[in-house]
Amino acid sequence: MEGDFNMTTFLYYGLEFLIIFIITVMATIIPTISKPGIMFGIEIPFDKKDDGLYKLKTRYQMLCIAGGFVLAAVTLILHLQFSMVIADILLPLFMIAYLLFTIIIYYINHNTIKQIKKEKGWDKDTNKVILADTTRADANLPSYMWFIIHFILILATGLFLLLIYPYLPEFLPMHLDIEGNINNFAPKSLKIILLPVVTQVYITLICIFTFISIKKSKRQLDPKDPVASSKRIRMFKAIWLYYTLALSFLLNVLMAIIAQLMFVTPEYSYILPFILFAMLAIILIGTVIISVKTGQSGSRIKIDGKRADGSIQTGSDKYWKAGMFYYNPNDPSIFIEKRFGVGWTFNYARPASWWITAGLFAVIAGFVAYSILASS
Amino acid sequence: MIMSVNPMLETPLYLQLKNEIIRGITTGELIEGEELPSVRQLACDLGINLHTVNKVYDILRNEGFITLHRQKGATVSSKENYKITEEFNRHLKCDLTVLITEAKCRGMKLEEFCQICNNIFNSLNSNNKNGRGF
Repeated sequence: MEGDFNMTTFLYYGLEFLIIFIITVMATIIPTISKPGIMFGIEIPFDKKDDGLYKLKTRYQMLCIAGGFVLAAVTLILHLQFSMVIADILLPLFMIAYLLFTIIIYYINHNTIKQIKKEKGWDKDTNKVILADTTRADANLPSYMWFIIHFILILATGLFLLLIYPYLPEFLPMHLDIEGNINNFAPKSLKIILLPVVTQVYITLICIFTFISIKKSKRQLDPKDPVASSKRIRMFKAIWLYYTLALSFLLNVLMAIIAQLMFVTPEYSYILPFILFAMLAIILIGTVIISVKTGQSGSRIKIDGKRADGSIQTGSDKYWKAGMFYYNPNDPSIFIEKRFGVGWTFNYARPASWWITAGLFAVIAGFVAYSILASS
Repeated sequence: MIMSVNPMLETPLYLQLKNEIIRGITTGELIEGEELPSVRQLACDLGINLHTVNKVYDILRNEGFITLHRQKGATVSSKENYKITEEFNRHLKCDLTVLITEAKCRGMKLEEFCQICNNIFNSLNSNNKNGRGF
């Protein structure tokens, strides 16, 4: 867009490229930081570091990086050739296309490895032993009580906004444009003044749900080294639980800052893009760094100076559809570790998983609806 | 304590689980008053049916090894609650008869059998926490 080159515009573009960079990095490093012994969603005997398998991993990673460059180039072209409005609509589509691209390469590799495993007869070599730790699942993990601090913050924000409501102007700023100027106002109402608080509540509820699901997730111990794997899993859970707490708190603070800048001191609202950029950058980069340091189920955490190497094969490939979706009616657990990636996923054989997924969609849809209604 | 069960073995899962818990109490890895995981948590971690774990906890409670509290869940009982009973003696002789008969049939001598028993008894000590491999 022609006109004055503006710090805010620069930040906006910077954020887009940062997101592209992070997406590319995450897609590329997933095979390296996922659980050892599982390649592209298929269990591999841990002593079979096959050359052919290694080539598949390299191929995936090279393609992800190449795709990332293409995405960046496309973004540049979009901004140079088209108006901001069109670019804003097309860019997310291209990002989704990139993610689909990475999923397709993953799936091709997944099937190739499945084939190799069958041909080499590796699927004969399974050990169905299962382990459990009698220590409490939530021992040494942060307590739900930490969220009380978050609710105190939310309460304080709400009270403050209600108290100053009478002193606010009749029209409240609702939106900043790409140059950092306020370009939309709405008549003041309780619904609008409490929008930041509603957002805080939604964010905190989702984070509490994440917290619960991580705490309750299945502890899959490694029969080759049960004690170390139990420790790793505990540390892995603890790190991501504290991360969720920090994220929730940070976002709640951010909403309070936004409320302050937009409603109370709109003359300073131009610093909002900088704050947003900084926060998003911290969250995105932080997630990548923590993912790399911990590895899936803590496999990269060093216990006695060693990281986890591959485990035995459990023969549970058949429950992992496409290596990404877990469906096991015999397993009562709802949240289990991902096979490809860092984090947890659902056991889709449990009805609770579907209710929760629907619930999350409803929560998000409800929030979007409320925001739209409140600001119209 | 780490417990392990294997669905591929002949022994039913619930029996394996029961034996694991009793083993833990024997070697001292599970101490008196220690809380056992909730039925749900244990079933989820092992990936087995809740009813199986429920059954195990029921059996252990009936035999006096664990106590079920309303808030705390299952805890390991004190030694007085699980002594040698007549029923246990019957059960012991029954199972041993099966094993000894086949051992004798296959030519095992009394001394060798007793030596094996000795070794097993001695290995189940408080300082031998990893009494078996996989």
